[in-house]
Amino acid sequence: MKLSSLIKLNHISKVFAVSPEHPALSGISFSIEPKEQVALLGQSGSGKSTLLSLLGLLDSPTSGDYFFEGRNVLMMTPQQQAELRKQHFAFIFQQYALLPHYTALMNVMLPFYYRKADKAQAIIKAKEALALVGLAGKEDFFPNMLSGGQKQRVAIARALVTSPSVILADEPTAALDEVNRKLILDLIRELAHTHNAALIVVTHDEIVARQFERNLILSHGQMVTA
Amino acid sequence: MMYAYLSEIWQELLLQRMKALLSLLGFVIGSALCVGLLSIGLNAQFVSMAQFSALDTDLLHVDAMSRAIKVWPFDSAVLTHKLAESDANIEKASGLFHISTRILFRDQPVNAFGIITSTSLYPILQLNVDNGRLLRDLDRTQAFCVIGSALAKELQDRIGHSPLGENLTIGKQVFTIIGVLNPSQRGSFLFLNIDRTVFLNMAQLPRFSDTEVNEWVIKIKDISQLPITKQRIEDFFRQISPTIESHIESLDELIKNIEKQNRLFILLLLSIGLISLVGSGIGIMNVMLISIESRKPEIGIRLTVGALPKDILIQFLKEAAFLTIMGAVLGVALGEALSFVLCLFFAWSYHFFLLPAGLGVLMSIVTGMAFGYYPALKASRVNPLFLLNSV
Repeated sequence: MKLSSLIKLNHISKVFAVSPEHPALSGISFSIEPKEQVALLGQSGSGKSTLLSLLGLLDSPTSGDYFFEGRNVLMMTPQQQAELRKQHFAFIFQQYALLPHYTALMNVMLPFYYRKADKAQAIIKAKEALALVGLAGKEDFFPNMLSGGQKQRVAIARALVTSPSVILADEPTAALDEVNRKLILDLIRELAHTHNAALIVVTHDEIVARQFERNLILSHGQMVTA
Repeated sequence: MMYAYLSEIWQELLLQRMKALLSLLGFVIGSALCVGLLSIGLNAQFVSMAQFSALDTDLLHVDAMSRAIKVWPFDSAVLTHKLAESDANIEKASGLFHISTRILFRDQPVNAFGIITSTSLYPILQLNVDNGRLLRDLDRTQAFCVIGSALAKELQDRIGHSPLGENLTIGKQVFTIIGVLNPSQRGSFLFLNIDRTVFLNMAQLPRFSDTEVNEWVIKIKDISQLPITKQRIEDFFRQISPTIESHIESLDELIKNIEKQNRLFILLLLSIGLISLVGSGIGIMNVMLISIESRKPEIGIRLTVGALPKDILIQFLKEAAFLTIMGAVLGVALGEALSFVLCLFFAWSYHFFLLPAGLGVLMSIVTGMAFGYYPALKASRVNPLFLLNSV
């Protein structure tokens, strides 16, 4: 493991209080380099979403070390972790996670609201992001007026709009049809690359995983390959 | 900037229409009850005090005694005049002498009381005639009297016509009735039943007593200056003779007690209002907690796109503050309207008091924010983990 890794996990374990005898994650160690694109593969219940939540600082491990850009994240306060998440991470969810009462444009602008950005600049950037994902002209559409593929494009635009260091995608194509599945995955990969963001995609689909140069395979909470 | 903030909160609340409306409604009702009860209480207090002050609150009863003085060396009229001059707050003074002799009408006793007074007693007690005329200072040599309305009715029932011009026998003296008074509520403080009283002129005093008057009725201008006036009257008698002991009675003690009772009554109403406000606060807290449960996905999304827990806390506190202030303002309007309608119903004059409105707004905001804080804190602690596909 290089010292300059973007993300570095050392012996990470996660035990939930409800089943202490079966750790959700055990002894996970790997690193992610800047701009690297990785698939996190595993069957349902293998612990991949738990790992994603730890990577995205939505949860804390029971033991182990997590370094981000060389800083030990687990030594930070919850407030500092939330700040780090805000500055460097973006999420794409299987069910899109769009605010139903916001238009496509408002959904993409939302991250700027919490960064106290200038509203006019936020509109310009959000429109550009929507254009990048092929949704120019659909800025004023509410999520219920968009197809599944289009909703995921809005979610991708929202993830990219603040130029994060890491994009964490949780089964981003699982809710889509065959045609959209490849299109959306290609789009995420391409835009992550052009935005210099590392991409970690959680999937149970080996076809999806095969498109990535590197696969992290999880089984029963343990890393099979890293 | 403020417009942008308000607009943003308004948009969020619009999206939560039903829950926001329920919260708002709860607060409007709570606040209206608090303000309405307090306003009605204050209006009732105002009416009762107004009614009370219409009675004998501006009257003083003074008697002066001295063991050393067997016969007063002063003429009643002079003494009364000097007493009236003893303090600028005294508007009028009248000497008073109670006649203990039995009163007869056509040789039959009547249920009546006789008093000898100066003519200034009539304006002091606001007495006026229904029939005939009042006694005048010029009547001093005439054996005239004026009687109260109930006594006049009794006499009329006996003889079948107005008693004007008829004679009353008091002791050995005969007096012609020259006036009948209108019914009067005043004088109860002096233990006078005006409606059954026979009034004689002060000039008649020597016929019933060999001393001068030592009892007075005084009307004062300003009730708030009562303690000073009392002191001046005591000083006045002490200057005449240190042996004179004066006793001054007034209704101010009674008024103070009534005011105390009124304050307790207002506190009771305020307590009921505050309890209802707290009840509304708890209701609002419940609605907000339910609202947060249904808004969990939204909170989770906000947290994953960059919101910090404190941003969520502030957002929900802003919404609570907006609802609370709107609820308080609408509640004050509704509470005052309720008070106005009740005043109309009870035929009271309505007065707008700042206290219920100000206190209502303040307490509503304090209660709203206090009960809004916990749901807001709970919202800020939502874990966005559930947004992930499977954990």
